[in-house]
Amino acid sequence: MYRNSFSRLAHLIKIEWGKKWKSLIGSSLLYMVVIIMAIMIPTQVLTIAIDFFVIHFIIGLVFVFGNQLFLLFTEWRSPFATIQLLQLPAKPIEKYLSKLCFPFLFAPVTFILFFFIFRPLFLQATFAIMGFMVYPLYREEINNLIQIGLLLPLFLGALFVPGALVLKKAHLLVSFFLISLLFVLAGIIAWVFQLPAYVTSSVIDQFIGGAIGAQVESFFNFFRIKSACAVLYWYGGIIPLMLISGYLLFKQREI
Amino acid sequence: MIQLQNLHFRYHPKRPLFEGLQVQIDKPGIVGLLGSNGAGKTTLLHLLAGLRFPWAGSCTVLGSEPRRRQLSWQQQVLFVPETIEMPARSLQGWLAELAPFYPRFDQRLFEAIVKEFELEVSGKLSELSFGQQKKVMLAFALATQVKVLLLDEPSNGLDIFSKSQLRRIWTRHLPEDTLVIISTHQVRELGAQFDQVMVIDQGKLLFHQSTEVLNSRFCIQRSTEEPGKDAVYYEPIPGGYLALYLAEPGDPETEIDLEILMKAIVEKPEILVHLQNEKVYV
Repeated sequence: MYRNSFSRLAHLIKIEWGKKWKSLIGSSLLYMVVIIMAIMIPTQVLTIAIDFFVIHFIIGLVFVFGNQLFLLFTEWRSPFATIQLLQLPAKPIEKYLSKLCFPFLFAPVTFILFFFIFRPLFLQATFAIMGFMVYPLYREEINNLIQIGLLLPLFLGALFVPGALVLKKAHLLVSFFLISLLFVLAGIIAWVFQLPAYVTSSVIDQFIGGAIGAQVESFFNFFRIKSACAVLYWYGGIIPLMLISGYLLFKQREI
Repeated sequence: MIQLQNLHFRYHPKRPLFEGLQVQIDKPGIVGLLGSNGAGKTTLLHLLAGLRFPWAGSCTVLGSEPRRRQLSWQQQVLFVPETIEMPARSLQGWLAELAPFYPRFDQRLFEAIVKEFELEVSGKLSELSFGQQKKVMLAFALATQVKVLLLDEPSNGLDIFSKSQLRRIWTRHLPEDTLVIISTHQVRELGAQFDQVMVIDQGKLLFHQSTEVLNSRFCIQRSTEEPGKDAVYYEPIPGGYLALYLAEPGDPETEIDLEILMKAIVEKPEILVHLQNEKVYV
């Protein structure tokens, strides 16, 4: 019997790990294979050789944590599993955290580990197979990638959490559609009222183009450390809002 | 142990299921929850387990509101649904996952019940038949020794031998301080186990009475000739008739047939007046 939250949480994570380790390790390994395959495409030499690792890091990360996001609260698909989860004697916050740590912690950490363990192999492979060396990434770039790797899932994934709590199926798709709609609407409103967070250098004169351009620029500003504070002012509120509303939805969840 | 006061629940705003439902259960034991299809038996169990929330009114189980799903409360209340889908895990692995959450879980009791069910689980639980999965789940539920056990159609999917095993297991292994609420249609098979009977119909509690009182208020007689007007209800059976009569003070006590009683209540709801007070004849 578990008498405190930490041991109960650890046990819940262990149960989740038992269910998800195959998809977590499997998707990470699968993307390593994708990278190897990509190396064999001859056009790499001429086109994206410099950004090769960065691009594949971002795509692979989104693939692995997106997979875990897809598997978040799969219990809702089965009435029996729903009952089992809801009536399990553990605090709602413990159950909630044990679920969230997979897309937001274990997925990025696993992918980052796989990526940097396999990186020497990729370098050797490009040299051996293609006869050239992909830009290898240096210390500062690696640190930046790790920071992005740990923050991006939280930043993007948090938006999908409330949907995963409410919808039984296709929660990623429905959430993506709603977020896109909000994204455009927020951009239009910000452009109309000239909100400070959206007054950027590249906002152009066209109505929709300006609105979306401001949104996209704010989004990419997130990855620039210098403007991260300004972006967090706008987006930083959304992550806690989404995670807290997800928790409240979980507490109020019925079968 | 359980108190529902003026409870309202509906799945659709225009179609209420429970309107002002009042239920009070003070003593542990086995309570049979009966009613026709769609009467709200499973929904009532869901409300008691905190899996659905009432629209209005209060629902209290072991002194706490089920919708709050407090940790100490969840350690004392367990709902076993009618349909079981065991995971693709070994029995030992599954037990190691779930048992630590229940402070009174008794591994030896679980093994004893599994043995009485004559179950041999070697592979994954998901590979077992539906009846076998149900036995594992029932064995687990009993071994948790929770204070309130809510069972939805526990004998569905069990063969004839397993049903009698289940009755024997209840008699032998159910802790004295446990309240078991069993929602079932199979009253002939499980009825003899009930200490109390609760009947709901169209979202209302028709009656809630101890089987002791039921046995004293009604009697069942078989006859070869068609019963007279004094029979509350009767139906033909092979070789004659089975009839339900109102018992008079001093009549010998017979074990009530709940199926006949249910049919009689549907046909003549006025007989419910005989169940209004607690006083036992005899």
